[in-house]
Amino acid sequence: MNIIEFNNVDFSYVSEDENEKEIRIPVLKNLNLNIEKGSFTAILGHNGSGKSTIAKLTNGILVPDKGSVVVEGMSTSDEDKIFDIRAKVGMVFQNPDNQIVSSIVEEDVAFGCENLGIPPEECRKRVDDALETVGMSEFALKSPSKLSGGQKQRVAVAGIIAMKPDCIVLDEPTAMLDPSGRREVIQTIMRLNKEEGITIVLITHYMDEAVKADRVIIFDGGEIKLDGTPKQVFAESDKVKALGLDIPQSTQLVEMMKKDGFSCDDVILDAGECADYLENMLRS
Amino acid sequence: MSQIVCENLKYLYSVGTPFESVAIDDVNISIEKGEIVGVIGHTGSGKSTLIQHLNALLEPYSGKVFLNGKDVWENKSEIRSVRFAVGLCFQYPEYQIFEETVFKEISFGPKQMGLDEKEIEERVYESADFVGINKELMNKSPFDLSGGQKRRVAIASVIAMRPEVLVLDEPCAGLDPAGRERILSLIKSYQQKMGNTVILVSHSMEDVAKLAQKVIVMNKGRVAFQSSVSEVFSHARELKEMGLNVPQITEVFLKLKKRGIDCRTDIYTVEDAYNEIKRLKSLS
Amino acid sequence: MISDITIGQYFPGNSPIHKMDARVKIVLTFAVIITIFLCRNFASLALVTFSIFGFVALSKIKIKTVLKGIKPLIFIIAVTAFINLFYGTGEPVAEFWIFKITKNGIMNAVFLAVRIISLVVASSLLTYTTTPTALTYAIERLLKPLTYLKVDVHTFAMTMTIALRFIPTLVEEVEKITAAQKSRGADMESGNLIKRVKALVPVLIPLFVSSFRRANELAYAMECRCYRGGEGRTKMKQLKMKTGDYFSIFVVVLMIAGVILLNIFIGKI
Repeated sequence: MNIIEFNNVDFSYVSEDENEKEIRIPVLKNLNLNIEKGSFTAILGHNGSGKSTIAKLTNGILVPDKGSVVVEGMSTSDEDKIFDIRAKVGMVFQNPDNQIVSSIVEEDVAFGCENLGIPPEECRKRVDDALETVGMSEFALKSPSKLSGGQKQRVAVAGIIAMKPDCIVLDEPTAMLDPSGRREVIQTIMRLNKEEGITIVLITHYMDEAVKADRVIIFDGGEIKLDGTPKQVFAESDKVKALGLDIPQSTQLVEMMKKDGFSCDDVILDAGECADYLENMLRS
Repeated sequence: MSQIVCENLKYLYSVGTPFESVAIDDVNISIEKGEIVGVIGHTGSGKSTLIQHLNALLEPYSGKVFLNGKDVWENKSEIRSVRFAVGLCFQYPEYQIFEETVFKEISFGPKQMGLDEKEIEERVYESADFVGINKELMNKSPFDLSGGQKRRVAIASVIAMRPEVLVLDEPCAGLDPAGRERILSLIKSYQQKMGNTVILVSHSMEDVAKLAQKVIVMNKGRVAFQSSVSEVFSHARELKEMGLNVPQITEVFLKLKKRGIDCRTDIYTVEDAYNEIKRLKSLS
Repeated sequence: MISDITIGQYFPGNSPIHKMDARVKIVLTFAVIITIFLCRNFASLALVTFSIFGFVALSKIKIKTVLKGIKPLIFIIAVTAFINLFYGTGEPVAEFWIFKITKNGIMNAVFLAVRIISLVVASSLLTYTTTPTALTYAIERLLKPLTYLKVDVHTFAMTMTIALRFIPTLVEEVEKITAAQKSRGADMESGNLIKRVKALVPVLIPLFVSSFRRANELAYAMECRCYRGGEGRTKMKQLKMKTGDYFSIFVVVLMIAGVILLNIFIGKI
């Protein structure tokens, strides 16, 4: 079953040219995209490829010029449904500082719940559970300004899951974090997907994050260029590179060796797989 | 004689308040002229505090910083000359861009040095050329540039001061792979052409491995390692415990070694790896 | 440094004062401040000051920390007291040129100094022991009757919450921008006033630009979390008055009564 459906979506930004005349800059052209319920999808693309626009279209922050975006049967163009949609599809942004509202962690996590009009006792329970899920319970009474980037981002995620959404869209949530912060956030969202069954749409340009998804979609110029499992997508390494993206080093190495006549029937994505393959090859 | 020497450097935050804490302690480093040095460490490791001592933005609580054998704090009235000699460019260009045009933005530093107009213009065009900013962009507002362009303008504005030492704080953070590649290659060509010392602060081991000869690893306010790239990356386990990563390909070879394959472990790039595998294969 | 100012800061704790209902704390703080102004003699002022420091002791906040909060104001206190020194009436104790210092003047000066210190301590105790969010929420609740006058109390409180939330972020940002501009040779420490004000431009412009961007992104993020104003909104943390609150109200009422009695019986200094 699909949780989000993009049906023939056109989208363009309105801007001004040098003579201050209104012009439209097309971003998406006739896009069709379905996100399956419970899946973990990674969306890749270089800056300006239209991937952030996708995020904003999923919960009605932006609405399509043509076509429709449908979330659990509700169209984002239907203004009466907009808050129902936003309660279903939570969103986490790049800069953790610019999405935290309150100066106390637990009060920030409660913000979304309170907006939904959830009774206080129920709010309390959801907030405690959400903080527990992201592993931030001990920081409940701390000020967000004293937290690391990874911790802030987990607080932002907790604020979303307290609203009990079916889907979370994360727009480059790790771009401003250091390696340990990135690990924290990715592990958290993978757990949400596997254990809580929340649908995840992760927009990123880190390949090592994308390979953890069930499905990888690569965007360029507002169109889907590649779409499939990580192995299917990274098997086309030349194409991925041509789109201005990285290939994991392990994948690159094995690709080079294949061109040299070595055989490998699998697509190698991480260090463990690569070491296994090389060990086998060297010992045979 | 080393170009930059830090001796028993110690710095405290919020001295005399209940929030007093040690930022860095017992830091002893030396940097030779013409080296590319990587400084790595996760957020809060003290790496930012350290580099702000190199250009005398922060005054040590105790210990000394020497530039070309001279104590930088010996003559406080000349402290700005240290900042012209050690050019520090911060992570986010948003923290410094303020002028109406790109030209004015890049000329900010040279202007502060009190140079005459002809000299300023020469330096602006020279450094813009270094970072690949076209002449057509010179009269545009720097706020209208893309993220990658802004960052290159910020770097140009520091290079325009013709510093002996260029310190770059996370020059690639948040950029997509193509943008990252571009910044790294321009740093390399700058260093080769000018022969100046470059200090690259990063938490990306891949980036550091590509450029640096020497690496300083900061952890909990102290220098954990200070050595050649290969020596430092051989401590993969310790680095991971510090919240850092070694390049994926290095990890592959460390795994192989552990499994009893007699391979080199100073492998940081896919090319190195490819050659090593070929060598191993030819032996067997 | 900006970060050294302690007035308005919150010191986490678990004392009876920390646990009090923020609404009660606000009302009582106002009551105490007004009482300070009602004091006409040393006896009544001593009573109020004594009560304030009693509350400080209960809050378990170190006296040292509290006195530190007064430090930035010492200059103002000294100047005010000094001026008052010359406005006394009666027999001069010392005299030079057109100035004369009387016993009454000295008393006035001391009285005023104690008064200002009590005032600062009382109001900082409120912020030291109450989280900014609890404060804003309490203000929102206290001002609720104004909603009937079409005053948008919720928006006001939300603005306050966000402002408080972003103060540390902006302070940090100012430090970063200043560091970045100093690295490019900006000179912010020397020169006359005009030069120094001019030197602020490279700091203020990036700060404004970034604040606008933050505001924009925050608005997006709030909309994504279904924010649509105060209507239909609940609040996780409910304010409830407990024994400690009733006890404090009782103490303050007693104190006010004491001050009034002392004012009547002892009279003006």
